[in-house]
Amino acid sequence: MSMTNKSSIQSCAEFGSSVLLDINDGDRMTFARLHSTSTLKIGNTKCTLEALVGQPFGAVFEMQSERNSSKLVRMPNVSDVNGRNEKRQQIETDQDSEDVKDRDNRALVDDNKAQTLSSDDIDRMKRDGASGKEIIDALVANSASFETKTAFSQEKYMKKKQKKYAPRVLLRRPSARSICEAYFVKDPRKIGFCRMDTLALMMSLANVGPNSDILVLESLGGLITAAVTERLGGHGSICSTYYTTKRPPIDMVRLLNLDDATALSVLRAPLEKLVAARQSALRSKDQNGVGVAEREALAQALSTLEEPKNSTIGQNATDAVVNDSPSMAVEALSTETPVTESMDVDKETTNIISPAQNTTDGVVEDSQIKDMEAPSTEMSVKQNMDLDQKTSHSLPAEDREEDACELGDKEANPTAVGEGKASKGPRPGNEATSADIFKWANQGFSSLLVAAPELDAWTVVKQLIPLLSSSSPFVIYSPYQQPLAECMFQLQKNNMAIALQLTEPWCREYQVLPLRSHPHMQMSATGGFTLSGIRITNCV
Amino acid sequence: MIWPLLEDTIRKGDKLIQDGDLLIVYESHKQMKAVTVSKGGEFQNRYGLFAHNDWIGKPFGSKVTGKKGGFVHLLAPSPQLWTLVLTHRTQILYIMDISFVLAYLEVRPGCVVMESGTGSGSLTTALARAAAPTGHIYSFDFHEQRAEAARKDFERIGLSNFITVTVRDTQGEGFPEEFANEVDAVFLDLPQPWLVIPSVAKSLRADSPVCSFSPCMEQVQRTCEALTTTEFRDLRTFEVLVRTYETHEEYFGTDIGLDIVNNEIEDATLHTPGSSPPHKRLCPTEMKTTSAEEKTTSNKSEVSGKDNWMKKGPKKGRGRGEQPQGSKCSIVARPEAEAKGHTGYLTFARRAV
Ligand SMILES: C[S@@+](CC[C@H](N)C(=O)[O-])C[C@H]1O[C@@H](n2cnc3c(N)ncnc32)[C@H](O)[C@@H]1O
Repeated sequence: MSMTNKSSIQSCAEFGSSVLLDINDGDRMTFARLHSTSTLKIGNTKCTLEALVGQPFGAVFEMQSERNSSKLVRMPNVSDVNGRNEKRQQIETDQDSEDVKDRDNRALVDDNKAQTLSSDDIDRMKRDGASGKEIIDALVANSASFETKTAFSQEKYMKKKQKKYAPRVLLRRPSARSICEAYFVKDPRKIGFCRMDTLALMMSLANVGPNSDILVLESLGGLITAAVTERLGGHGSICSTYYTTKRPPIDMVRLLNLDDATALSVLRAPLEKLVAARQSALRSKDQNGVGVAEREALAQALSTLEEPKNSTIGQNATDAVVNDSPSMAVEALSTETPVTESMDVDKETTNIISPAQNTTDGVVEDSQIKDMEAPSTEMSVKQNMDLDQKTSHSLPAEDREEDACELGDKEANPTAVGEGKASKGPRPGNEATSADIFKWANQGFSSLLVAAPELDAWTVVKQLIPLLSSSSPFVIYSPYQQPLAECMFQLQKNNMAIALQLTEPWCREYQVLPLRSHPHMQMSATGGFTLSGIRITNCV
Repeated sequence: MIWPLLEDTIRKGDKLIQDGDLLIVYESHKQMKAVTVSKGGEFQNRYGLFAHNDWIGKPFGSKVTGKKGGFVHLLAPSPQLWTLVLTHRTQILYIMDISFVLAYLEVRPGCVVMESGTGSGSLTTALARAAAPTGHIYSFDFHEQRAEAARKDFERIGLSNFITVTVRDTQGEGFPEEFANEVDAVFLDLPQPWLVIPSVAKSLRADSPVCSFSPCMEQVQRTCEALTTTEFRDLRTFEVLVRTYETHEEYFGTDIGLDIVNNEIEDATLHTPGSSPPHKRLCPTEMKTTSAEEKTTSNKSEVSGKDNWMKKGPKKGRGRGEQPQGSKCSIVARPEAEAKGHTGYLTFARRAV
């Protein structure tokens, strides 16, 4: 068997990487972006994250304070120091509780009276620049009752002191699952109370996978879009649609470290445009039948539209300007097309698109659906330019503020401060080009995911299901059961879908220890509900 | 071949059924069958005979009628549907466990994943779909016939390019040496997974995850011991299940034979339609009278608010009979009576750096 596959997974944190910091064995989870100025604060101690640059994900660091400065120091081997391996240590200590070598210099006391070291002593040690380990050692050495403790409580005490005087930071690569889990603990409202198992189930129910075109309508801060993006890995396209003038943020996508192709596969488009384009495309098909010749012609048109992907291209290839200098490109674009309010454009589009006359409909539509312009901004430019220079990908002006907020740093973790942004590479979430919209309108999306608890599920689904190609699955998430039940009922009655299933996932974690295995005492009682189904043809 | 989404990146409208395509014939959630379309072929079920020729050229998702008048839907295959129709040669993993495994193992395009045993290939299919088009699944089972049957299945569903099935006693021999440090994720569904852990540790890249699925806690226990004494950290064990609901209209009686009306307690009112939170719109509404003239004519009519319901009266003719006098109607969801109470425990760990 040849192992020629090059894994695309990033193994080390780089300058500018988004990282998940697991502090003291999951006591706290925090997102950060690695910049020279990023810092982390644990208790009263603050240190920079510089030490993490170039380190492998999975590495463990200890925050060591010496003479008023603290730094993160890489621990040699994880297997001994990681807290979730508490289990391991417990197993060993249980088995060898009489084994003296297991005790010697690691034992500690949790009885104040037995401890001859006072807190003043400890403060003085700190001022003198003692490391966390030295303090812990001193605590051990000055303890009287330590030897009488069971191995188990020795261990527990050590752990407690270690967390306090030498906190551990585990460097993790953020994934959709870990983002979901971290938010579910920290700020579940932000992700609509969607638990990681529910998120995982949604990916299956909606058949999310490479080479598909996926429509997402969400108000969970980008969680769903992030999960879909991760699964597509740059193969296929994601359309994160919106119905508001201001695009709701999908910043969680940026907590993933996406390569350029993957970042560019995440597009945004107003719902109105998608619906208008789809209606137009379907009408054109109705009038012309769905003959093979017709399809070939469409395909031809599509492939011409498709080609410009990944480079900046004008009407013809010779006009192409490789977009290495984003701000310049934007300036050029901005001067060509007047600034338009996005909603106006949308309304106009909806009204203008009339029943298609012929196969050129797509082209007509193309010029009608114009992306709105915005003042130039470096961040808003993508390299993936469309066929028409007049159509820019710049964000509507109000987006820039929204996008400027570093969700990971500011919200998930107020103490880890990321300054500036990772400026390298394209950002996910550019506006879809007319070509993209044209393509989606013609072939339909291959999956639909809705997670907008603030909207009436049936109202949304009724409008969005026609955007799917026939036989494509959809899934709707809600923290509430009732709206999904009503939506399911309507879908059934209106024969719009089959394989309808209203599902509630259940997830329980276990402690596994010899003779002490049992479910965790605390569990999440709900992770939300999903309604899934498969769109069927309506030509009955 | 069959998996439309792995095939043509640009489809032209709905995907049309062609000779040689694999599709899922859907009668109901409990009645589905995988069929490979062939010119002149036939499909027979309780609705009678269906000619494949009538299917060819229709879009996937079409409804087709049998000779006896019943109908089925013709669906494009997906890993989820495949799991529901595949031939069981062993116990298999179902959608909830599969989903959790894919998410936790972070399987994505480009991943190299190792698995043992192959079993009926239910999980393998999902892994392959997730790792395609640039990744690969190496699946090992010591049962020759099962391995062969799985290969045939993978061929049939068009995923064989992404899966290599090898006959090997992984509990006895471990995974092959050439995988050392090359693997992004490992999945074990074996009777004694702990025997394989040292070899898993060798195969995995640093910080990469392993998952072991076992029905019994004793197996989990031993696996965790093996993991903790090998180079693993972040041990976590989960159990995931689903509860499914059926929904229908239900009439709730409001007449309990009392003439005296308690006017003291007024019903709390919901917000008026204009300001109501949208999902409350269909909330139960008391129906005072019913009469034949008030029958709504269309099943498709959309219920858009309380007023609407009051004017038009309850929806009827939905096969559930007339709305009883003195009742109110609600859409209800009830958990389906039968559910899986346990499938297995999923234990995850990551190889230490
Ligand atoms: C429960 S099945 C796996 C089902 C699979 N996960 C699925 O979803 O279809 C377990 C498989 O492990 C295989 N197996 C058992 N012991 C094995 C061993 N020592 N080496 C390799 N395979 C083994 C069996 O032949 C069986 O096919």
